[in-house]
Amino acid sequence: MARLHEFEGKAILSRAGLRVPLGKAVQTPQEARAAAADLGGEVVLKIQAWTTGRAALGGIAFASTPDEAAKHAERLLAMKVGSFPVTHVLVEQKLKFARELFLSFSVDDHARAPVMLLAAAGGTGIEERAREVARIPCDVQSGPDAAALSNALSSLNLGQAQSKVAEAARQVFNVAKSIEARSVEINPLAILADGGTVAADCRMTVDDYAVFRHPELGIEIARELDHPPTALERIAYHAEQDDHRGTFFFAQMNTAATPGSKGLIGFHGAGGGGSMMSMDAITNEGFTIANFCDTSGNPSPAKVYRAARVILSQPGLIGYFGSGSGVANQEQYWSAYGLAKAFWELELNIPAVIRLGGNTEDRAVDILQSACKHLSAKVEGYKKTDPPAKIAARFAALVAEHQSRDGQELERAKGQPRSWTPRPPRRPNFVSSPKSLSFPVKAGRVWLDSAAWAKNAPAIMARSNGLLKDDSGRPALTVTPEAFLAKDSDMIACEVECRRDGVEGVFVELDIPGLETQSERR
Amino acid sequence: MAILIDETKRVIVQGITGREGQARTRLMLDYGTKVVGGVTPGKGGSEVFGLPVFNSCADAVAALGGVDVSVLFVPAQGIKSAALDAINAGVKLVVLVADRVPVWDAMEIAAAAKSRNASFVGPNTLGIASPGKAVVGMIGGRAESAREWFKAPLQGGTGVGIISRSGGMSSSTAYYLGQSGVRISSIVHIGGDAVLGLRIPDVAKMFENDPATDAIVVFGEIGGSQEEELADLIKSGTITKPVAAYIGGKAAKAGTRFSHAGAIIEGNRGTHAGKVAALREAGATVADAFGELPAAVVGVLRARKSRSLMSDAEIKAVWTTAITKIEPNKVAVRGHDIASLMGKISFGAAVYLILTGTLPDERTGRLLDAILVSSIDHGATPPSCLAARTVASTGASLSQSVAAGIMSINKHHGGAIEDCARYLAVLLRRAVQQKRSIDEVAAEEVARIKSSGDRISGFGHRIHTKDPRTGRMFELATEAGLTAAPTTHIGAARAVERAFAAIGKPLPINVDGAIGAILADLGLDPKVFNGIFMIARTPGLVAHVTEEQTRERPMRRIDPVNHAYDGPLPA
Repeated sequence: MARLHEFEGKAILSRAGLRVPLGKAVQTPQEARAAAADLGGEVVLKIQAWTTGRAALGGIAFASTPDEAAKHAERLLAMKVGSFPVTHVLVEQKLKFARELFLSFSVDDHARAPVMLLAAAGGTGIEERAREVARIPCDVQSGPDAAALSNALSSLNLGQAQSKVAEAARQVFNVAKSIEARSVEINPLAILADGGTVAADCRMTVDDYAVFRHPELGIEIARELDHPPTALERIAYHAEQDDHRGTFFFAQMNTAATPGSKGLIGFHGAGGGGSMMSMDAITNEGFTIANFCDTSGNPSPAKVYRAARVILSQPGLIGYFGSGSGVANQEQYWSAYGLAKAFWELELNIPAVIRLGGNTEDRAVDILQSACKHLSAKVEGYKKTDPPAKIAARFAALVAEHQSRDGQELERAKGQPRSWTPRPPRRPNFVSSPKSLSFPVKAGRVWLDSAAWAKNAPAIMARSNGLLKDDSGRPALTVTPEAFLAKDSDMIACEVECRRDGVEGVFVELDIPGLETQSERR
Repeated sequence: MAILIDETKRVIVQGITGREGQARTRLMLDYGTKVVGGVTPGKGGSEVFGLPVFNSCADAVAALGGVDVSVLFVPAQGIKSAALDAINAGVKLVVLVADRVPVWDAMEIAAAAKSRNASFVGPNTLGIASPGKAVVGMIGGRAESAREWFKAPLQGGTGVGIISRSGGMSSSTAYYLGQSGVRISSIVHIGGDAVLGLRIPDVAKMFENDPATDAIVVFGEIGGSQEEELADLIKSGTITKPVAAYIGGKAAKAGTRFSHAGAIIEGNRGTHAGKVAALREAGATVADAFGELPAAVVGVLRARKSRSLMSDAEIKAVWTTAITKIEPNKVAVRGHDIASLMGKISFGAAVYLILTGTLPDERTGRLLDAILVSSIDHGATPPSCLAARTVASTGASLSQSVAAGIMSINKHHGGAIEDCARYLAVLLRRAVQQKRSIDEVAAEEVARIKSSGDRISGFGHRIHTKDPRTGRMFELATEAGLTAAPTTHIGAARAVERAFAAIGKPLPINVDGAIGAILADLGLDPKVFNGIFMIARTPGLVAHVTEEQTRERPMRRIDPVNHAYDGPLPA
């Protein structure tokens, strides 16, 4: 669920007619001083962070003067909540509340419908008072059930404010519906002396799958993470958005091995459940997982290739572990082409164990192993008859063997494992040569070595699924350039098939915006 | 039995003309699912694999009659309107395969389903499989994989029911259970999203009530409360069958989502430890590692002496047959003891049994007998007879000579039975799809045939104008309970006859056409029709070959036309 900051949520509530305290989100102490001066009087400063109990963390401060506000802001903006640095502080006028309520909207998976919660006292620690909370079932179209809402309200003895709170509840529902929220929490919904209501705090999350319908929310990455998106996660996310053949999910988890672990590994799963199960298996073997990654849903080889490139942009890996459900419903050889291409380009020198069980597993394992046989690292493919615990153990054995090889004693003496250093991918010499021919494909291009074409043409054409032909000594397409754009999978297969048969002269260059600069920076 | 789907459920495919829709329709048809049509707005009137395509579910239901299940191969953005189309057309089970369906759309679908008393599976589901019966969705990916991976219960036997929150792990769990000798009644991938149609507790209750399910196996995940709700059902005694589970996501961190929208730990809710504890406390078996799940399930089944467990011989088998079971001193054809069939059922009934797996009633058996008798021989001129005699005259053995005759039974000799049946089926489908009467369709066809000069299989004969076998065949069909109703193949054949008569060109159905129409109406697969002809003709070929070997000199020149009959005169 994409999360909105308090100040972003309040802006949406305010536009929908719900009253919120006057205030401004600031990013510097100077801005805080100016905001406090504009508001006048006493102000409250609140860190903008997705956490409960900000007061207990010291994330809330009160100021009577603009200077005091600036001083607090300086401290607050230096805070870190979990792994999220605080980037915004909300400066608001301080209000006097007559009463505080808790009001929330969420999706009830049991009822398959929205539900709203209303509780007597606001403030922090609402989770502990769950028993006093009234549940108001909602209709997905019309909102809170009128009878349930009125029951909940009358038990609160709100007097004059009752109709205002009822209106606020309906407004919150409407806001949730309009932005396709997964959750909205107003804690507290404050009742002022005059009986009016104010949303004094606001936490909102938006359905990831609906973000595409809400460009107005300005959500950059619709993914839940327990940290701000890293540079690699952004690159992966955009690579995914550009190719809808299958799913590619990537999240970084650790940048260093936890103490006592066997080391940091790159993880490449297939399917959410199979990936989680495989992560459990490799964690049981004592490794630290650098990243979560899932390519599934019949992904294109280009997608699997990009996933492997992103995974191998993480330094310090001592191995590459791939495993999904192990009995995949998808055609696994496409994934094998993507992996084989990435491993060759990066000249992989750490062990890799990939479980390719499922449909076409024999072909998939054969492609992977024969295409990787000239690499210095051991790359092994496994099938559905190889359970996850078995290949996790095999992976551990390969890693141990790799770490103890002769000639590496010096490094090991320093306690440094032989590990992966990200590097730019290798390209055959003819790539980018003005003498070579290239044809665009989806987010990339196919290079053909014109100088060697005469020698290689029959072999390349035979492996091109009928897409390439010879036109008086020069390579040419048998289909229109537009049709060829969608033939990246066939051409990746062609490149890998040629390489395993010792044929050169064809190469598919696939762009991963941001990734090249990323590894150069290292 | 099984839950949710089996071979009798009538299924339509929404998005059938798309790439995924076509690939998965192929899987479902190949596996044996009764797919009866498809829906793609704007593509109504076309066909996919011979199945009629409609513009809407309402059209499909009106034309096809009862539709039990609709499976949607429609992208996420189109799911809401497609699902509402199916629900409003009265379909009671809707399977939503698409990933990334917005949760508010899912809630709207849920509200519509509730008001129409319908259920849905998904979104983000690979579907449902009842091994040996049917697949809806894409579990297995290919029919041959689904057959190889998932071990079906024996006929009338039992299996374990699988409920999974993960698609890949549905297949994986079923496969590893099968490798350990566990048969599966049904596999339900409920989907990975936050709002789902059928949830673990709902499906568990279905398995509880399914006599073909012995135990329930759950592949659970972190997030949500479905596993805890299942634990409550076990505690309250609603679920009494044994439950074995594995919960994925032990290594996952709170607050990070791992692909499945529903698999996220929010606060203290949905943790791995909480789910494992709740299930164990309720008395379920929970495996710590996925690899330990099959052994745990086998243990549970063994303790109950469950018929879901395969014998060692069955586990070792690398392939299986469902036709005849041979044990010492015992032979059973399609589950029927052969000694008790002998002297009791006709050969026709036995042929029907071995081809369809079902023992027919006596009148159907007699009808099959009549079909076999009608084709036993047609004199010395048919190619099969000439081929058999020619080979026999070279000194070949009986088996070689008869085989030569059989080898000449092909598309143009005996093939009319199958061709005619398939042709009549096309006319019937067209009538349904275009909502026209079979007579209108037949008239249009006859007009087309007249102008194009095409020949049609199963009508007219090179010798007979009134084939003596045809009339008798239809008499027997009527006795066996078949009718010439406009939705039957016989009805379609009659409509074609009427249409020919109407243009003054009487072209009656011949014996091949009659047999084709009758066999199709009896529910036999047209693929075996030529086989039935071979079965019928074999005695005739044996007679011709032995006569050739005893009466004629070797290597004689066999005149295909000038020969005479010297046997007893017909009474």
